[in-house]
Amino acid sequence: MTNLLLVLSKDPYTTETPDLVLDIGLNAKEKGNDVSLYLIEDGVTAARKSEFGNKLAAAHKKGIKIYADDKAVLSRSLTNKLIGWVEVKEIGTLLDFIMDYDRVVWF
Amino acid sequence: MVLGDKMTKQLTIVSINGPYRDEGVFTMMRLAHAAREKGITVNFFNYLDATVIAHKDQAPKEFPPIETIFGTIVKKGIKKPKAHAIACIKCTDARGVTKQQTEGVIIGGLYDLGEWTAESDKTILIS
Repeated sequence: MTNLLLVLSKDPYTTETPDLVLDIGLNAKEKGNDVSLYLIEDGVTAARKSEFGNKLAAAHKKGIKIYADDKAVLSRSLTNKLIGWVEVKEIGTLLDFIMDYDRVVWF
Repeated sequence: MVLGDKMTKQLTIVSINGPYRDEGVFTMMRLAHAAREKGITVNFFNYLDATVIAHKDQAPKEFPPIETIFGTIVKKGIKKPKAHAIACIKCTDARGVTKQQTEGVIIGGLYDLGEWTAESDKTILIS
């Protein structure tokens, strides 16, 4: 089993990148890997209570852990506006994940 | 060529985007500060448009000048934990910024990135 960290920095409404990231994560999870999705920069908007937020919630139910960068959330005034399963973390946590996970892919 | 310190953990960050378009460069700076606090050596490989990050004399009106912030991290990195920076020569030549890189940035190439990748604990590309 591989630990896979997907870092998403793009919003879900401009490109199809967030959908691609979610597909990769779900496929990796189905194959038995440990998958985490870390939202940063505009990527945190993907976790708003919205259509895409519902997709993330479904992914969480399938075992994908979801994190969001604290400054990105704060600067966009998204505190308390995200889906319930998102853990807001500071940048040091992302660094720890980058160093500890087997594979890291930044989108 | 800069050889890394094998006594500490090493993170190589490859950046390809220029400053001011999005938050990517500032995220890179935040990661570098966090790495310093955790004693992790950081290698910056500035590639493609990211070679503009360390270009001198930037004077943005509404943003902090990224060259100053980046240069401060690289200069402070002379002490442990280290922070090294290489700018790709083909990229700097193409953009006319080879001779105006901030202090501490070395002009190098993809072979240097290969060596950093081999010796680093982790290499990430911020895009």
